[in-house]
Amino acid sequence: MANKIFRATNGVSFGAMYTAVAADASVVGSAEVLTITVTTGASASGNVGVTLRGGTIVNIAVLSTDTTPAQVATKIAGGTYPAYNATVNGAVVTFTCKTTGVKSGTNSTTVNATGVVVSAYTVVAGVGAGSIAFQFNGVGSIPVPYPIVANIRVVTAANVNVDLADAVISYPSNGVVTISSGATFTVTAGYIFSVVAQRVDSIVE
Amino acid sequence: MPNRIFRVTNGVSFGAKYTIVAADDTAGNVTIQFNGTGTPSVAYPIVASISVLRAGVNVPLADAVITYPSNGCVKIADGSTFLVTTNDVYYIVAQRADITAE
Repeated sequence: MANKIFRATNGVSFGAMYTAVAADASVVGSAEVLTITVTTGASASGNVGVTLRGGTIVNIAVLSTDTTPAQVATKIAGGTYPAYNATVNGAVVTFTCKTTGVKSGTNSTTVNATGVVVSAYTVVAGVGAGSIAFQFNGVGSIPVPYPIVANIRVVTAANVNVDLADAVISYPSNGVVTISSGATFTVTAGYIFSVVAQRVDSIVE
Repeated sequence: MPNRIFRVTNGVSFGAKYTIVAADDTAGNVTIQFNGTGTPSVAYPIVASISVLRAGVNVPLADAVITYPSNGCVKIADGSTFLVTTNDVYYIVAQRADITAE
């Protein structure tokens, strides 16, 4: 589904009202994809630790003979990651989440004294099933170039409040807030979404 | 606990994102303070709408205790169900308030 585009009220304040349609409710979720590239192979034996989204570290034993990036990448992809499936293509390891939707938590790689060098993670965010992305634009066709915070309220077509319960809410990019179905809360055609948003100060003093 | 200070967006409108730290969790409350350009909070009352996410999932405010202890400040405290919890992310949209109904 394309983003639902609304306009800034006064440059930094936003208000939007939108009635969900069947296409919003039927959005098929997609899984998050994480990618790393091994740029230097091992020069000493030891463990390379992989932590995905703050989960338990998975230690991968590499040998001093794993001198090429592809050898190390293959071993990393051979690890067991509870929430992700791993594949390898040359020196690139791809982790695909086993569930759909936006994920949070830190990704990290600990190379210890193996001599291995690994790139930072690239992230392609997942999308939850049943999803609406509210995009706030300025005067042009692109979203405002800063992060926002939003409060979302939902009522039924009969104007009865709907508890957000376990709705999944994310801020995938500047000027955009996305709400997706959880196990209890479901994006439903006919629901009316009221969104009040604001340019955000996210640096506490 | 010291107030968590953020800056006004445009003089009367406020947006803040804040991740709860252990000290807030221990205190059982957090006070979000909106300042103008100086060090004191803005000199007028505000109203605020707060949403809380845990790992991207909405956390119902349930019986959270929400108060406005002074101008420019909003305080969220533990209820019996809702608890101020480390690593929860608070999203606050606030506005200068007219508190006198005509």
